[in-house]
Amino acid sequence: MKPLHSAYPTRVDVADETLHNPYQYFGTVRALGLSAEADTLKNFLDTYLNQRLSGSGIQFDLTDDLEPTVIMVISDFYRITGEPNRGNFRNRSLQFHVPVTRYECSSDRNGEQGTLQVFSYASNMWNALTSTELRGPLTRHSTMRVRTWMEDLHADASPHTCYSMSPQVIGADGEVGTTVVVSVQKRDEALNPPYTKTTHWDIKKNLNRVFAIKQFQHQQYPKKTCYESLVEIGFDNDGLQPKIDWRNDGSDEGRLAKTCVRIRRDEAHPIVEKLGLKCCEPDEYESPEGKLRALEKLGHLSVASDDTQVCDYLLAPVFYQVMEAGAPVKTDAHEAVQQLATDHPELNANRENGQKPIIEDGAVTLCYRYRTDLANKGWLKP
Amino acid sequence: MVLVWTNIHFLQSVILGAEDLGMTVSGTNKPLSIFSNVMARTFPLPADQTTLQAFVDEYLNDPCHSGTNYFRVAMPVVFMQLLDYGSMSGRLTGSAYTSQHELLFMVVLEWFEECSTGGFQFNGKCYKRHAESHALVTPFIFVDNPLSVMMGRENFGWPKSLINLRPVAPGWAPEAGESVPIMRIGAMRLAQFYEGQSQRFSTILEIEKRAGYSDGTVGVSMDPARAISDWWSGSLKNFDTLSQQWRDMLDLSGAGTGMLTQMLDQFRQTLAGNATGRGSLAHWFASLGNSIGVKHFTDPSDKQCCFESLANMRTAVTKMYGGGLLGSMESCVSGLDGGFTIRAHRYSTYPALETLGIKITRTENPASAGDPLIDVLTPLMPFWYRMDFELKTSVPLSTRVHGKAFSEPLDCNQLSDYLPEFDPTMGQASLAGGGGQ
Repeated sequence: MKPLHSAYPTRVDVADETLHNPYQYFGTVRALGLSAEADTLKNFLDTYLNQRLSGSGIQFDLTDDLEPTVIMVISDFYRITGEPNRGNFRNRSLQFHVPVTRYECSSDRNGEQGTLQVFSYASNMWNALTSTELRGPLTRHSTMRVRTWMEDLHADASPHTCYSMSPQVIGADGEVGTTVVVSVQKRDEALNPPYTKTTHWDIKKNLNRVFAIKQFQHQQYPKKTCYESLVEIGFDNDGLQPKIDWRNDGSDEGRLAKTCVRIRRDEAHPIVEKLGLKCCEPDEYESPEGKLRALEKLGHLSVASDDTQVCDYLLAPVFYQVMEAGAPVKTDAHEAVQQLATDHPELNANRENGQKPIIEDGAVTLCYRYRTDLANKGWLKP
Repeated sequence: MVLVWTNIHFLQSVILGAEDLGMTVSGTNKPLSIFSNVMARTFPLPADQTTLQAFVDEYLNDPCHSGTNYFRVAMPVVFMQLLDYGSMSGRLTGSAYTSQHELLFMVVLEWFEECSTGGFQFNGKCYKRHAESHALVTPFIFVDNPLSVMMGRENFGWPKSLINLRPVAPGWAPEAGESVPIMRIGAMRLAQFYEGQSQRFSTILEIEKRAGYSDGTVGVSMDPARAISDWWSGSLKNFDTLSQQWRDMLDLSGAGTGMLTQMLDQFRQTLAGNATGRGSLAHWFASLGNSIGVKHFTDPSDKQCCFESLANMRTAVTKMYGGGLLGSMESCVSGLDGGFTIRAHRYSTYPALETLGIKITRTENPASAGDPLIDVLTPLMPFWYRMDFELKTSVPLSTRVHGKAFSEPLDCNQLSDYLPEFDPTMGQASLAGGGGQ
């Protein structure tokens, strides 16, 4: 039986690092609704997806084109398996999903609803590579830290950074380093955003069909692609059990209002700008390099950077949901690791008791192309 | 930042030769990536040539994806390299730069191309020697920079894996001749697949050095221009010229000459077995400019390949800072290993030794029950060099999309117009062009 390298079906065993479907996910999924400007989000959808898909016969529109909501999904899976019993992998991920409706003439799939997955990050390199190279959504490796979660804190608890995601970014001095780009914080006081919306979004129903562009840069012409495709990923979310559902309708004891998503303004991760996310006044502050520069002026040290300001967007989520799949979740990281090491009998038992995991049978390539000078602008169906 | 651009201007002024390898359709010849102050420690490992050729036949010579190319293993040696990149930057990254550590296993190839009346026959077809003569393939690459992992795999077809590389300080006052670890490479691994085990951080490879042995030859004076032109002159090189290069590089005089001659003779006999130079290190030097990668991605639904491309990456050394042997001279004369030992933990995830037929000196049991066996390898005359180099071009040699061949070279002049636009929105723009070899 071939090990991990079987993703290279026609080749020998070189380091492949991707896992084959079907996948099973055990752990927690958190969803935060973020209000978006309809025009900006629609423009993003058109430029990123619809114009690209021109000729394929498939187009997408915002499911809510008046007051759209972008879903920020944070997953914390203490166990992911590829092919059954291949092994256990732990992963945290952060993804942004745009609810969309698919339109395709002469197709029984016309009008189907799903989400477009964009700006994706994973803590486990194997997960990042599997997602990017096999499943489809471009997923970047990043460091993710969880100190606690919003639901574990009292409404009057002191300010706290619950979660942070740190990908590799280009620093002001040109050096590539790791910096927090997205974090979830518990604030002392409510944000009072200049927008309000009471909404609800069902992870179980609405995160079962995900669309993504699978795209690889051409090695000779960096501004071109050598291959791109539209993929659809289907999930069986029956195993998801709701745990938390905060909405800004007063039912959350004001805890949602003190929840803040902080996104750093970064050229390589233009999440807020591209998706048109509505935010409160940006939080600008001096970077550590700037403080060092002050010392430099005093002659104490030398700093190469000229950029001293950092800008963070502060976003007020319009809902916060937590759902669990598989065995009971260990929110404490240490406990989760312990569970990871000893979970097999319990997991099997839990599955038999109905606490089944999220199941992903696999993605489907809806259409692909590698050049544009063919019929239908090069789009082909497998 | 200032330092980076100063270096770039300096490098441009010292680039040797008139080869316009970087010329693209757009007319620019900026390198795809620039690597500065790269320290390479190379550990040649004897390997079984039949196993190596079987690997190359399956990995590169499969008629489904080899195009008109054929690759023959040039020498029964796999070069394990440990690289420390001072800085590296890409064409699209502008002023951005990063660095990394890297461990790779490199196989030297002779490169042939199909023709109607060539003097070589493989699989019933006629071939002639490719103009580039030699190339190398690196099927196992480990780096400690996540950005490099993803860009290397997705752009160039280098099958990189993420590792943690940690120098280890020798213990206090080890016994003379005792092997002490100097480098430990670890990664997230599964001990076994299909047994429901969990991923954990494990040591996958260690480099040890016998106590009392020196680190290597230093203070080597070398004319960069002459060294580069010698190193990159290609197929005309033979063992005698190579030996002379080593003498020049090592800068040994007087009493050391006899020892050096003895060492080189032993090395030649070990590697080639004759005096013609065939199979010698000359091939290795000749191959450095051409790296062959396999860019391969799988379709999620049928698990078959949705895109695969045999790619040729061309690099050029722009500056040599120095080079020499690793380890003490006495160890090179006696055992040729420089005092180094490599201990590879046998994880099924990375079957480099098995796949490449690397000769194992002995196998040791693990310290803890349940851990994998440890294969001990003995390098042959390890050496080092420090250089600047550039990745000039990356060109597809053959491409298949969902099983259908796509002959890119046929319409090269228009190809870039036909290709879909790349969308850098999701963060790729900042990373594009990065990589490493």
